[in-house]
Amino acid sequence: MWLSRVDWEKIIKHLSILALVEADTARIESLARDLEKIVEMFNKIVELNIPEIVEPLYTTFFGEINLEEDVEWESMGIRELDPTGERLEDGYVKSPKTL
Amino acid sequence: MLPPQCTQFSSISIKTLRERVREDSDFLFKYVEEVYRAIERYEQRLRAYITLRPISEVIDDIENLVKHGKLGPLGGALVAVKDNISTKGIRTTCGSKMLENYVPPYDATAVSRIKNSGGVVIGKTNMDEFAMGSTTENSAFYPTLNPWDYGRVPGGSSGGSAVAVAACEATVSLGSDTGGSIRLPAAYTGIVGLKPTYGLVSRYGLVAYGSSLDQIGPMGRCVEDVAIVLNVISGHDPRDSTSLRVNVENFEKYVVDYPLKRYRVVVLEEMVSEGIDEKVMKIFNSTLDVLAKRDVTVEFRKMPLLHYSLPTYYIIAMAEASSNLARFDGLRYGTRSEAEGKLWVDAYRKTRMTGFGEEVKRRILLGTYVLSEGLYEGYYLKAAKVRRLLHQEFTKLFREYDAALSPTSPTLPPRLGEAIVDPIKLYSLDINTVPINLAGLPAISVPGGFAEGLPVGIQIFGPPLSEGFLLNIAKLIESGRSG
Amino acid sequence: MDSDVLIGLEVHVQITSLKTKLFCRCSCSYRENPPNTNVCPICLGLPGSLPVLNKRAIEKAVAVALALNSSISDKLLFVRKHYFYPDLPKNYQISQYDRYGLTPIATGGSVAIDVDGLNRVVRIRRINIEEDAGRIAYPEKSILGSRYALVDYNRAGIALLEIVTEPDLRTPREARVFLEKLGSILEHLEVADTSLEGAMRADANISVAGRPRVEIKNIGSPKDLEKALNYEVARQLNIVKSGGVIERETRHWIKERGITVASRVKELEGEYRYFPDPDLPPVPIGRELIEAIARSLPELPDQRARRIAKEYGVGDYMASVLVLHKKLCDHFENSSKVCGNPRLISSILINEFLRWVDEAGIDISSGIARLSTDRLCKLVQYFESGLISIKLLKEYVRIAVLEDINPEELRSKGLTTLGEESELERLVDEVLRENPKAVADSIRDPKAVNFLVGQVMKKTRGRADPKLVNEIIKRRLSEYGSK
Repeated sequence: MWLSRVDWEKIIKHLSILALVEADTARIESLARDLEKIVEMFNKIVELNIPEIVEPLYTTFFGEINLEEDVEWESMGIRELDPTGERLEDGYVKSPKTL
Repeated sequence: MLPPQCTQFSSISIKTLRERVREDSDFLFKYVEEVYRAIERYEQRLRAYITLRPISEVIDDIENLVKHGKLGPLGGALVAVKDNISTKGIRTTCGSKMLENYVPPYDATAVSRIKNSGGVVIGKTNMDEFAMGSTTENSAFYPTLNPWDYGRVPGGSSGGSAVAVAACEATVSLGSDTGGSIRLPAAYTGIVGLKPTYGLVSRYGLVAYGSSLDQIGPMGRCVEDVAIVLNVISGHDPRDSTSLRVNVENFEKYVVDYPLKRYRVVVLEEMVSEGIDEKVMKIFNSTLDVLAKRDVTVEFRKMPLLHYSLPTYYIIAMAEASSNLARFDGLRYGTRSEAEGKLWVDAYRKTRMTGFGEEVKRRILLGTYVLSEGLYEGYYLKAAKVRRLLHQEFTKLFREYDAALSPTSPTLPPRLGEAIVDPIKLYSLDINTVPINLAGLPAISVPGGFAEGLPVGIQIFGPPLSEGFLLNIAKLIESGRSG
Repeated sequence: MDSDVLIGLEVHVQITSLKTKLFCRCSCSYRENPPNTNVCPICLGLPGSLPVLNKRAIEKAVAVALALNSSISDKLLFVRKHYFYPDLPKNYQISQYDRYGLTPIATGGSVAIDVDGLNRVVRIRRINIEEDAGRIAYPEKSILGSRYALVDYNRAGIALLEIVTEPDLRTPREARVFLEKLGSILEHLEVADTSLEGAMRADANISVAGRPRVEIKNIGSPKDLEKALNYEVARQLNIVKSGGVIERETRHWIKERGITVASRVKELEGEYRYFPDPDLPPVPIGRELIEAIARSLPELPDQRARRIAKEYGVGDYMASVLVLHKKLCDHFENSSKVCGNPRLISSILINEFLRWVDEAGIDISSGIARLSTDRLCKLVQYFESGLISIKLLKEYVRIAVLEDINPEELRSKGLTTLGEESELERLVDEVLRENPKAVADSIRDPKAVNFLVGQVMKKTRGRADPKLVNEIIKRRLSEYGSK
């Protein structure tokens, strides 16, 4: 888990591909420094010993979950979201090219 | 005690407002004018708002409420809404360039409840971008200043909602709290802010940051205003799967200045030891004295696991944030770069590179990191287990005590630029607030007094759905406070 | 060679029997609607919107799990699966996962198939509930040459079941039969109408001769599955034969060209950063619910095959083929009840009808419309009355399915228009040859024809239509007369 700064720049490149978030090249060094420091803070819990049987807690919600009936409602339609229609073509949302 | 921006008139409470309107039907319009006068005078410096509605629109809304006799429990109160809470027809930027021109086609449940209860949205308040920050300096637009000292931050991320209320540019406000974002700015601006039990207030329409931690909550100049707004916004919402089905109490009835029971409260030593400013401690201790005089038993306990709450919190919050913010690709809404001819990944990357600020990128990258193959078990899963242990510890603790007390923030409000230079320092401002979100508990920050002319907030938290008692204890502090 | 092929499938089936989407109440009937009309803040992934699970989707998934003998989880857990693509509104898909202590709705189970008389059991690995993505179209009708893409989100959020098999399939034909059987089970359960375009899609993993597995995506029907796998087996064997190396890769099936092509998106594959969706707390799946659904399960293909074999005496193999298509099987039972002779009907449907439906490239429902019970019964009647030979009957079926022509119409054009001698004509000729005197009498005196008709009727044991026999004899006599 203890990584050098050079490694962090590599990791940032990989994370950028996954998250489609890119840092300015000029700032990548300071970003790497920050991330390294924060991960160092995270590492505090990595070292914590927890018994195997402890179940992870993903939500503190303790009630009964609401479920929806299978009954149609009146849909909004995308026009309401984009009244000017500048993102649309023949009702479709225009998107960049795909593969 | 209120900052110099307020007048006696503009600082009126909801209850008084309702009473005065009953005597004088024009009173409400005079009040609106008074609030807009404050805005006119101070807003240029304070910058509490990102979008402010023109006074004419607000007057129209109020006339409508009056005409239809729908002033309701909020009585025409002017409600400032944090800009990550969807408002139909009013742009909702989340303090980000990414959503600079995004106008939601629907109202958040909390907002529609405000509207249906005689509240009028006056504007959308400044915040740290996507609620990521503790000072409101991470707003993509401008920082909001602390009304008590223009050289200091108001706290964050709901800094705009805190300042709008503190400086009497609104009656009350809605904020959101993921790790302290309501309580911290409430503490730094000398107002009351409540973070409800997870699931008490619907998250529908709240732009998610850390979905398992986020709650919308009320902010006001007095405990009573906060209780009145909580009455309005709490309760089951079928549109939120994490909304509790509870019979909502009338929280107003807890706002009395005598104790409703013989409270036993606890102070966790970890929350009053390391790195706590002496001046803050002095106010905290005097608050304990105030409570002792009201027959409140105060005891001290240790909870060593709290040392791990900051990494646990940030791992979970960043992981959820990296996922929640994936949808901002510029396609269906929000800022986008020119799409034609480009491959989607390149267009998205460009949109997200220019649309997100540095702190947001930092958290997205780290959230992606802790969820990635091979690291998930060491970070995210581990954090979820620590969270379980923390939850268990609090459950045990509150079998013995009605509530716990701590300073809301370990320090006085930092100077502008002081905290954001170092992320670890910035994150440490949340040291006392994040454990509460991890455990899904309710908490309130109430002014405890002043140090060097700056407000100090006291945090009271308790077991799930103990909002009533928290309000009561907060009221005891409010009315027992000397200055 | 075949024993060297290992095939596993990931089948995606839309729960077309639901009226609304998995997490919102927008209509599922997107096939008839203009683009982006069945959408709302939730299925468009607008900031602040939240998913609420469709109750009936759980019931449908449980029914499928029971039908496949899978073990059902005691709770429903959703995770987020992250990848960026324009058809995915949130840039994550709400799905399920089987690692890190998480669990899909069901695991294990099996489907028995009968492939040309050979019995096989295909093990099921798991069943997921997840949401469908939108659909991408191209302004230039093709991906090539389009400078941008067009997205329709009507399909986004429709409930899907992902059914994953172990690599138990050994031939492309087996894979096809499995997919048909699975589709039939889903139709018997009334979970899905798999004949709808895009309602059942498969990705196939195939490993040839111990080489790394290749994934083929985008296969839309059982027939295409067989074709795509045949293509892929041949392609890979060619590479192996020429000493080449097969790489682990993802390929796409291009239906129009009948080939698979390597996917060009490599960098984003694999790292989906799964984690539990904090917006959807676990939903308990109660024993009572499972038992209630188990009690109300309809007759499934295997039971039905056993019943049909016994009740109609069509043989086990025929029965197993009939139940591969629910509609075909319904058609068989209806027609058999109307006009009897189930053995003939089953043979027509399996040996002739299916072949021509394939050839015509239509689905079974359209095929059934062309060879309706009415038409089928007419053919059976013609055949039984000796009016047409089995060869001609087959020809009639072919024309009915390919050209949608009514057999009656064909007959009215004359029994020999197809250049075929009918069974009845053959019998008439026999009788005429055996009774030269009666022939001579009849040429002189038309009334004497009755004797010849009686002889023919005797030969057909009374099954033939006397009027028809009369007609044929008269035509033959006039031919003789003219000679």
